[in-house]
Amino acid sequence: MPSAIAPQEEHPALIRVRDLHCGYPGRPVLQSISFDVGPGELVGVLGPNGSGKTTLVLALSGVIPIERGSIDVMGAPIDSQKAKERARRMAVVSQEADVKFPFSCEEVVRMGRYPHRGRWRGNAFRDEERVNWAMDAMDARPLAERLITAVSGGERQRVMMARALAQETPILLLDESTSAMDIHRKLEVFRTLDALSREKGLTVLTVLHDLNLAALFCRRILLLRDGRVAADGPPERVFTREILEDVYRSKVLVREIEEIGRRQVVFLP
Amino acid sequence: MKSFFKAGRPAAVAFVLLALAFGILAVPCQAAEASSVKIVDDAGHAIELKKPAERIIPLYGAFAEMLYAIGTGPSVVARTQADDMPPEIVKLPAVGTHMRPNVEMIVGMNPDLVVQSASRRAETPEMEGVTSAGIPIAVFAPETFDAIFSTMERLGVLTGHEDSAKAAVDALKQRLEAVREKVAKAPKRPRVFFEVRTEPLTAAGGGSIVQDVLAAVGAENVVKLDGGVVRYSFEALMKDDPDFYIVQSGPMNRNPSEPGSRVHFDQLRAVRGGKVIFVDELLFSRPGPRAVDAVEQLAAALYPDLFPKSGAQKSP
Amino acid sequence: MTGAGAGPTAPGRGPAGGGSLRLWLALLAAVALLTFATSGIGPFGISYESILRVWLSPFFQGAASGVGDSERYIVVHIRLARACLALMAGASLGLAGAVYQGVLLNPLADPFTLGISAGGALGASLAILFGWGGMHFAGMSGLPVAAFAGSMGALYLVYMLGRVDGKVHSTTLVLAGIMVSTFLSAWISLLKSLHEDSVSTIVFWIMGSLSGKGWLHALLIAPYLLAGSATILAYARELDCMSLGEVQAMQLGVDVPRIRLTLLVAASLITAAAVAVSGVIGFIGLVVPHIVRLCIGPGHRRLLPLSLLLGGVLLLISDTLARSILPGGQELPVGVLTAILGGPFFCHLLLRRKKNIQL
Repeated sequence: MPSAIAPQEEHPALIRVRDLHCGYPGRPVLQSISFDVGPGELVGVLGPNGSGKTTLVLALSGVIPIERGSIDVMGAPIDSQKAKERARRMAVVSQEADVKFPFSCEEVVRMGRYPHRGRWRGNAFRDEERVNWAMDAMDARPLAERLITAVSGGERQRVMMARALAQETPILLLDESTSAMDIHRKLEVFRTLDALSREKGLTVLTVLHDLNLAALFCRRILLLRDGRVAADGPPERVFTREILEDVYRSKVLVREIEEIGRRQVVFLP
Repeated sequence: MKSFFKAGRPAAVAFVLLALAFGILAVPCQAAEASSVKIVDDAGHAIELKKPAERIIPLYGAFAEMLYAIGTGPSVVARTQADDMPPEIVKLPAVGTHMRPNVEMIVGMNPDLVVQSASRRAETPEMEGVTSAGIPIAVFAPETFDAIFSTMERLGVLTGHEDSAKAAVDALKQRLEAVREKVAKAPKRPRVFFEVRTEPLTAAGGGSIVQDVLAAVGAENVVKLDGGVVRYSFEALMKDDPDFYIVQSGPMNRNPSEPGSRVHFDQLRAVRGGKVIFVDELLFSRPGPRAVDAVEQLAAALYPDLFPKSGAQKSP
Repeated sequence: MTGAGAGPTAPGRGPAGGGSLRLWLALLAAVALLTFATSGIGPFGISYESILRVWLSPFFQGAASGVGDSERYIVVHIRLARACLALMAGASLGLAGAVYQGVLLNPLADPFTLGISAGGALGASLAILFGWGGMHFAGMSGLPVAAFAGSMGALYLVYMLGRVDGKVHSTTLVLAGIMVSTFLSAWISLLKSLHEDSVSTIVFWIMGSLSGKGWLHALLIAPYLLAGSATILAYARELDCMSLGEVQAMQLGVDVPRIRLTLLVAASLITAAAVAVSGVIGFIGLVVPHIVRLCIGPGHRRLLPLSLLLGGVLLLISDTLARSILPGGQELPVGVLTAILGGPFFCHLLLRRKKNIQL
């Protein structure tokens, strides 16, 4: 089976996607996607609208069925795992963030402990500890008593991130989950994610629109176009004028910022 | 006119007299006026017909029964869907239902008089179409025997059958009187409960023909409330503990169950002692001439000693 | 806009560690006390002392000596049975309402959203017109059975219509519920038109009543309420997660399709049982969950049991008024009173909390 990159044999893959086809009834989206993600990676998933980024997150989290191919998470096919088991391996923050009832932000964060709990058991000390840690990590402590229905979009995203961290999983899938935050919040969140992935081995796969943010933090970029992998590799390999102009159909300037050793991209008017 | 005065409607009477006086003053001695008939209906409207009605549509079964009872059956030209008494009425075409009469069909039958009950008249504004077609609507609200008799006599006037109406009323009154005389001999007045509906338990209260039927047989209704039908609590019924439990069977209470088989009802003395009487709703709850039949049936059931050959059914 | 400071906060609620056992015992004691208080109300004058004696007689031999037989019957078989039935029917509706709102993520949902009331009413109407009320089974008429069958039929129709490629979607389900309700209501209207003389009987059944009901009816609804509420309470945490939306709930590890179906079926069954014995009592299922949410927040582990409790209490109070507010043993349709009582209370809470709560 052909794959875009060679599997890294030295690191057993946490996520292994092979020849994935999936989509919605009557509308195929992803076509023959293959990639592996190892422990501690921080992968940015980019691509124009409709390229299949969100669909990929939904497929990886087992929300939509696989039509062909396979997704293995921590060695087991995603569709053979029980929902709760899956949720102990992978936390997801998706775009749909409309909470219907006025839960306090702390209550929402605490929901992240759901997959770890028995049916009738109350809050264990470990749960509380992890919830507190997650709230601190996302600086969501000041929001604790506020209602999730009444905070701003950026604040809600922080709460949702904290909820995902409270889930205490080796894998974190994010779908545009910092889009409504102001720039210093975004940077803080990504610094935290960067530290977690480097120090705790957390694997992060995040859908992003902001190429420059991705270039700052992501150590690997998965670029999608029309449901296929257009490029996969470190930013300096993916963020080239040729690839970006081809994928985004727009003139770009790609500059190496020497002070920080990162690339930044400017789209031309 | 005599019984009409008895019915005690001074205002209406004054109105009639006034109208009569004006009539006499305005058009003295016209031969054609001699055959015109005139009454005041229960809505207080004067109904005047140039000649006695010959094509009549009663929009309620009780009125149809009255018309047949006073000998004007042949003048009835239509009925409402549910009417089946007397049996020959079934041959007539139906013009809608009691609740929703069909104006087009009524006008199309070309009647010279329509008779409607007061409660329905208020709720059928579409009947204006009949009046504006020039067809008079006489409205009656009989809820007592006196009102039934008065209605029959006024229908007699409108149809030119005053004498036979009076005769029919007299006969009915005699039958009532006969029952009254007999039940007067009873040692005590039985206390009764009249079940209009099983679920939720609903009783006949004051202000209905049932109350008058009960009064006519010397029975005391344990339900002292006015308003025709009353939703009644079982606990209150248990407190009343009537001598007889009367269950009506009909459209409002289809196929009622034997009270003895219901939850709680074994607590009632009447039910334990077999003093349960099933009666026909259409006979008891309808203010027509057959309410007198109801009186006779009920009397026979309540006082088996006084009426050796009974008429009322003991079970459905 | 960052950090703490001005803005809505959660109304007084501690950590969602569930209520303490003592609190729940106190609430249950309050319900028992309320039941006792309402038991003293009725046309038959019975002193609270006699009622207490009768209540204690199963535990202390001879406690009820000196209390007359009919008084004893009224205390146990009429008032207590009716109070228990009111508590259970109200509890069913309150709990089912909370579940429907939580599962369908629609604050306007109530236990009758999926056509259960229309189905029950059609079943009862047919039973009334065909005279099945006369077929008695151990003191209970055929009406509850027919109403229950009607509710189940309506529910089946709604699920069949609400399924899209094997999955049950909330919006489709609500739409199917509205369609089926309208359709069945049209049939009820047709039956009423064809049988004008029976209209009042059908209307009075639909308006809801606990009149003339006994232990048997309470027994009929008890298993549904017990099994249903046990199932529902077991899924309180899942309901919380489902408030985040279907996708997020699934990603949190909630088996949404299965749990949604389980919850809806459980709530529907207890609603159908309540409708079967008490008719269509509106408003409780809609308003009780909102009242509870306004007071203690949306967490289902407290919302569900408190909706159950408050639903029961509200119906008990309403029914006590319904049977005693008019003189001379007259009764009011209890559904009228639930709306009259619940409406203003709800509005009061809403106005007081509007500033800092989003519904």
